[in-house]
Order: sequence, then C-alpha cells, then structure tokens
Amino acid sequence: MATMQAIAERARAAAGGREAWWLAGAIAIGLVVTLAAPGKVVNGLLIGSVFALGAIGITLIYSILRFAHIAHGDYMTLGAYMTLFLLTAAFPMVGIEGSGLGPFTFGYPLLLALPIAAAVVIAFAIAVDFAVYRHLRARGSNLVMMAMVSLGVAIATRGLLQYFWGTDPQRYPRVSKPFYHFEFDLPLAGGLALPFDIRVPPDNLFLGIMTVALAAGLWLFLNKTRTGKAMRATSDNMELARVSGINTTRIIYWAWAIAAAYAALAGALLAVSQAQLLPHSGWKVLIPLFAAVTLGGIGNPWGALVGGLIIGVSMEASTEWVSPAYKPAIAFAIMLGALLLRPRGIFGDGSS
Amino acid sequence: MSILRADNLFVGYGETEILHGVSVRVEPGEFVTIIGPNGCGKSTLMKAVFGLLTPKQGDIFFDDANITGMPTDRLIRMGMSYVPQTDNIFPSLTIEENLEMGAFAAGGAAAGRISEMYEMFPDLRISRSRRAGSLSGGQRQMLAFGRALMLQPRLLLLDEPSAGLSPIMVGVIFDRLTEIRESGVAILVVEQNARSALAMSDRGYVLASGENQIEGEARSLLDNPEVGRLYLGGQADEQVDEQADDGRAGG
Repeated sequence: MATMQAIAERARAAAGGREAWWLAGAIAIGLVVTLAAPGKVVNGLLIGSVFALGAIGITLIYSILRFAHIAHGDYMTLGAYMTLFLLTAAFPMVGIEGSGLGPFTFGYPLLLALPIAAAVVIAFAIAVDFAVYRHLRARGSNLVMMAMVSLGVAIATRGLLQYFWGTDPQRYPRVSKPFYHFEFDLPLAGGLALPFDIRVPPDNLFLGIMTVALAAGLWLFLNKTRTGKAMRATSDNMELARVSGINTTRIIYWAWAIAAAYAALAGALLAVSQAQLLPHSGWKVLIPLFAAVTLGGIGNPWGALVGGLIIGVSMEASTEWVSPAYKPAIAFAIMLGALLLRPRGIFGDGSS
Repeated sequence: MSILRADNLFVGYGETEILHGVSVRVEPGEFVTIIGPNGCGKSTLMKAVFGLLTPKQGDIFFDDANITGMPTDRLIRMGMSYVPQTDNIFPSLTIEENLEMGAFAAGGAAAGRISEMYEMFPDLRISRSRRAGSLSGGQRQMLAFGRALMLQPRLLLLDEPSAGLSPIMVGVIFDRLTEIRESGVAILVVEQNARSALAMSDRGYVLASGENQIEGEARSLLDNPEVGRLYLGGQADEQVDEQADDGRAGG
C-alpha cells in the first residue's frame, strides 16, 4: 500500500519535472536509432548484456567496499580463458565435445563450462581479497589507494593469462549459423523476427534472457533473503551493520563471489559475442563498464543493467555514422554527459 | 552481581590514548548516565564496552563473564545492544528491514518481535514499508531503539539519544527510555542533555579527560554544586541545550 503510494508520488513528481522530457527524448532517440540501424541495435543489446553483467559486479563491489574495482575487466578475461581451457583442453579429455547446440553458435559444453569458470573466478577473487585488499582495509586505506592497487591486480591477472596462453587470439569451438536461412520447428529457433525487418539471432536471445534472469536473481537475493538484506545494510552503513551483529567480512566475501561469478559469465559471453579472445579483451571494455555503472547510478544493480544496455546500443549504433574506432569514445562521452547532467545516474537517489 | 562492570579501562585509537583508567558499573535494571565535557571519552567508553574498540588494559564483565575483546555478534546474543549517536539506521532499507537487521545475530526473522516493536512505536507501523531514510529525526531515533531492542537485550547502551532533536522530541525520547527501563532493561546512556538525563537516572558518572571524576546517586550529582557549575551549565536549562548543540559535531 505504502509502496504503491510512493510509486505514485514518484511518478507524479517525475511527470511534472524535467524528467518526463528526458525520458521522452531518450525514447525518441532510441526509436530513431532503432529504425535507422536495426541490426546494429540488436548487436548493441548483445554486447550491452555483457556490459551489464560486468557492470553489476563493479557496482556491487563499490557499494560494499567503496572503491572502483579496476581489475574487473581482467576478472572477466580470466573467466573467458577458464572457459577456453575447459572447452579446448579439459572437456575433450573426458569426452565432452560438441558445438552448434540447436540454433546457437556454441555447443552444450559451454553451458557446462560457465558455472565451473565462475567458480574458479570466485575462488580467485576471494584469494586476491584475502592476500591483498583485506590488509589494505585493515590499514584503513582510502579509495584511491584501493583503486590503484586494483589496477596492479588487473595487470598481474593479465600477465598470468599471457603466461599460460600467450598473446595470440584464441577461439571457442563454434559453428557459424546464418540464422535467417534456417527453418527450425522450434519456436524462436531461427531467431526472433520483429516488424521493420528487425531480426534477433538466437545467441542474442539467449544472452539477453540470461542477463535479465541474472539481474532479477540478484534483485531477489538482495531484497528477499536474509544475507541479501544484510548486504544492503552493510552497503548503507558498515559500522552499524557490525553493531547489529552482521558479520561484515562474510558479506564482503559474498559481494566478491557474486561480482566474480557475473564477471566470469560476462567474460565468456564477451568471447562468444566477439568470436575471439585476447588477454586484453576484458581490459578493453573497462570504459564501457564504468560508463554503464555511472549512467545507471553507482551502487544500483538495475542501473548497471539499464546502463549496460544503453552503452552497448549507443556504441554499436554509432558505427552507422562514425568509424568503429570511436566506440570507446562514445562510451566515454555518455559517461561524461551523465556526470554533468545527472551525476547520481538514472536510478541513483543521491543516498550513496 | 552487576550486569556490567568495566574495570580500569585504558582505550585509544592507535597511539592516542583516550581513556586512562575508567571504571563503570551497571546493576540489573538500573539506569546509569555518563556526563562530561566534549572529548572526555564518553563515546570511546561505549565503543569499548560494545567490543568495537579493544582496551589496551583493563577488563569488562557482562554478568560474570569476561567479555573484553569479544566479537560484537556474541555480545548481542548474550543480551547487550548498542545505539550509536549518529547514522544509527539503515536509510535505504525499509523500516521493517531495519528491525529485521536488529535480529540478525540470532538468525531468526523474529516476526512476532517486530509487531511488538510496532506496538511500542506506533509511528513505525504506519510507514513500515517506507525507506528509513525518509523518516524524521525523532522517528529515526525510535527506529534505532526498535532495532536495538529486537533481541530483548538486558543491557542497552545509548550514545547521545537526544542529539540533534527538537526539545519536544527530546521529551518524547526520554519518555520512551523511561518505558524501556520500566520493562526491565538496564540502560547505560551518554548524554549532553545532562540535567534531564540525570533526572531520570538511578546513578551517574562524571567523566573528564578520560578519567572518572565523580560518581554517585543521580540525585546527589544534580545537587552537587561543583557538578552543577561545571557540567550542568549552572541553573539555566537553555545553556544545557546549547552545550548539546555544540556537542553534535564532536562526541
């Protein structure tokens, strides 16, 4: 009841203010861009889903530990290389092989590899915290120091990957599927065909649904479980959380676990969507990730999701008019714009 | 047997020592007030008792158990609770979730206890699903009390419960404290609003420069001309309120 009232109040306040115009403008731009470059918008949603999964982790780490986790892109790369290792070395040894699952370009081994890769990155993230960040926290290091150290962790992680896999591009086993020529009996098997000749390939559908499900799962965790609520409480006020008997160290490891798992998935899916993998693949998406976090409102998982999708679509759609080399610049421009016009982000309420 | 006994505590932050041998004691069901000038170590004493700071020297006993350096969640389960002076609610959580967090240490959702809290603080029930950050100063303080009372503590530690409130709200808060005390909870409170706090206390301590100065029955402290002159702002209540204002930034 009170929630309904609060929503109604917010809607009324928004309708009266500039926010309605912002929203209308954003929808109008979105429509125009979609009609001008439908294929690129669809691709943008794909890469945007990857950004969203990465950005959710950054925003979660920020809301608990209060620093910009610069190594997040490289945690993504680690997840992608673990997936590569499983697909090309570990799984074939035990007889798990196959590509081209149904309409998808990837095989069922990828679906087996993702949770294992996520578990490895979780273990890595917690080990790094135990070996590095924990001591800085105990010493009361400030957020600049923490961010700089995470830059060091980023470089070290990448070095580790280069040591094992070298700097050459790697690929997952895949079959290319020109989706629009296929005639499957399954619904949506040939992708989703929308008006205006917009077609959504099956890979994109899979990734989109998975991203929304993971974001919704995180929302349920944060709002409906005891540990999730304790995590929000810790994000609000770590000292008071401790005073309430919440084991904040455990909460910190929970945050690392979720952020690392989502990063691993984001990294592997980045490799799927780009059809190749390099040691700096994750590092290169760091600017879009932080742009997504800033745009959505730092500390807000829904903001990270929406921010990721907007950044992804903007970057891809921009190639209709400017050279693809400017894609990171587009992300950076949106981040600057967000900071100038609405520093708390789309979903930020100014409390964090 | 005292419910709380702190013997000869030496506490500080890093190299800086704040408390140089402070002792306090609270009997079961007793209301004890600590007064003293800004920076005398009142808040430090509370934090040390609640395990947020580890004493360099000295021991703290709860019932008969030595609790020095014990983790906070264990103290909560033993029956102690603490309300900090500022930032004592979770602003982005709903009121109900704030209360739930008060029961976190026991592991249960404590739904029955939440409705008891709503009976004690009816204002909270009305806005139970609103974010706590939208509450007024007085309501926030009620919610902070509610959170701290969720696990039915036997000892409640309060750091400046009247700080930053309007005079009317201070009266309401103090009435609530009297009710809480009448329900059998022992209270140890640090207050700038010294005269009003002592008026409802059993005993009091005057702390200055990190040491015990005077202790005794609350009545005798109120009547003590030296205490009156130095710490109660003479006879003028307004002056006491001014001190409370000055004290907000410090603590």
